Amino acid sequence: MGDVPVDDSERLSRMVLTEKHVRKESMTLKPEAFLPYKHVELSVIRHRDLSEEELWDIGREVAQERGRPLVGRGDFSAKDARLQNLDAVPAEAPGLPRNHADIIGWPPEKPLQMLRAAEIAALAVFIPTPHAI
Amino acid sequence: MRIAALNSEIYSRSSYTPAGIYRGDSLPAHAEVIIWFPIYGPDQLFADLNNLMFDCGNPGWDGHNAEGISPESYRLARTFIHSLPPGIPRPTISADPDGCVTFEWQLSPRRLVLVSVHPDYRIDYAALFGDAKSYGSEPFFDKFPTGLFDLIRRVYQI
Repeated sequence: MGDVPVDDSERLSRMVLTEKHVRKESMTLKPEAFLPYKHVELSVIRHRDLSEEELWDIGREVAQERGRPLVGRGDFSAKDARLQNLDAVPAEAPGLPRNHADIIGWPPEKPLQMLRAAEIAALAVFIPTPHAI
Repeated sequence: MRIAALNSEIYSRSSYTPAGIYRGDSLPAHAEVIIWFPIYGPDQLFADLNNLMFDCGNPGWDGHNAEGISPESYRLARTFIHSLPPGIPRPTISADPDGCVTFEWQLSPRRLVLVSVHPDYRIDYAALFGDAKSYGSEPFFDKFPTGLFDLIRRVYQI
């Protein structure tokens, strides 16, 4: 999987580990959930070859490792990122979760990062962890 | 034609109402609707900011290596609240992963203004209006930028 390019149609998940990133009244994600920091890349999990249950398992592992609750995930496609002049690339390595990928190509200027993050947030679908919210 | 709600404050005129009081798309094109927003005071925003500081004041609050909100960011965010013009809709307040405080005016995911207050006396902003967009940076000391007010007004106008 680590060397398989990310296809445009592939679904990707940003794991949401704080309720602060969720607009509860509309169950949508705030752009801050997609802002990269400290590195100018955004960690996501590829859905490819994973069942729904396996995807949640990865999310729970990430949350447990970081001592945070798994609030849910923000799903979007690689194409959604590429429409913002970003790219999705495989990024598997020891210490990283299975099916890990990075959204790269972020501009260094924060206003542009905010704009890109807002565009992705507008396209993303928030899926709460069952019974999380 | 005028549509209004009680216990509210006038802000702008539009054929759209965010409060769901009236569906503007059923109005004649030339009809006039006045949007009313709930009255709020700076004390409520200060309370929101204090809650945010409590939740996001330490590094790693987002599970993704975020910086905590620094005392400098907190202080300038308070100044920003003081600078908000009368009648402006109430923003929601969030934290960015770099520890800045962000104010959001949002009608829908594609109709919003984000303003991030940076502790070095700068604000970064980004806005979506359907397919149109705007972004930039401005110095901020204690005066609310006029151009920003126009962007926020635009969020609530169609």
